[in-house]
Amino acid sequence: MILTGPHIAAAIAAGDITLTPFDGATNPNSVDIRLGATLRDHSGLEIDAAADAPLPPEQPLPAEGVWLRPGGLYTAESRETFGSSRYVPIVHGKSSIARAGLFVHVNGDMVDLGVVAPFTFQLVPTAPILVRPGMAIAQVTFWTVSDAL
Amino acid sequence: MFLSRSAIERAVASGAVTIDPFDPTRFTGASYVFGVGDEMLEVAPQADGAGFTFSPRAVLLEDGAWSLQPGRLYLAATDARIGSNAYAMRLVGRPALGHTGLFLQISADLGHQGACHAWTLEIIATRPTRLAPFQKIGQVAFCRTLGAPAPYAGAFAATDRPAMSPLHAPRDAPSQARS
Repeated sequence: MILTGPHIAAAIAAGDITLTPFDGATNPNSVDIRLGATLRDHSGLEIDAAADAPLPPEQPLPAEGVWLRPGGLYTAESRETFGSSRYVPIVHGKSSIARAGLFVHVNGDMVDLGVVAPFTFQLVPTAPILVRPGMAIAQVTFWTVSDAL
Repeated sequence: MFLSRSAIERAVASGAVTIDPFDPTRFTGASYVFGVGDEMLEVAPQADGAGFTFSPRAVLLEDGAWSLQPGRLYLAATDARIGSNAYAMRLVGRPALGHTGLFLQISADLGHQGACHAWTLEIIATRPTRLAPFQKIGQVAFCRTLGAPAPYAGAFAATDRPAMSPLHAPRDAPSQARS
């Protein structure tokens, strides 16, 4: 089952879900998560997925934002740290962001049960998009599991 | 937990799920298959100083189909109003179209409980692709929820036509503006 927004808020209050910072706002079945303050630009790199290659450097995201370009690949962490040992988090795009052509993950939507950490967005723009630190760029749902961890 | 075909049929009959128009032949084992509506927009960026502005451009039919090109962003809508106050939804593309390289719903697969409208579809073609109005394009699954429901009050809840992102609204217009 997927948790409703009020149930997510109650689970955060009860300590069954960690999500910080949390201002109390929920959607009917999710909580928005926001872009952090830095970005890694992988665009134009030849990526050797078989090797343990170093990541491109983290660049600060200026308050006025940065235009991401189609054809590029960027990664960035969520401002929020979240996770749960009781419910499985799944990260989804938001309609406003999807309609602007931005993929927020590539195959990587599910967070492991018990892991509490910022989420790394895999940003693939299909149209130019201006992103700013702190913008609500994705949302996370929480799902029940069959048994205790 | 997703509803099976028979559970969705019962939910449509009881009014817990709205699918309008409804075609009882369009089921998979645990989802309802929807088609694309008859309006296709291309979201065209124009360079504007250091940034970009965006405007929708209607894609015209050629011999009864749209010709979708790689590297462009398209918006359409489902051919039915779909929603539920009781269940959350998941909207995904049909595998048969995925096999042709068509991405549907750009990582935004979640349909909130309480929303009911024709859903805007974000479409990316990785290969030149012809697509016809009302062609079956995706499927919606319904999921049981845990906890008290919250009413949906999203900005897109009322629209049945392809909706531009509020990020693409002209700066001097309301955020929900659509040309």
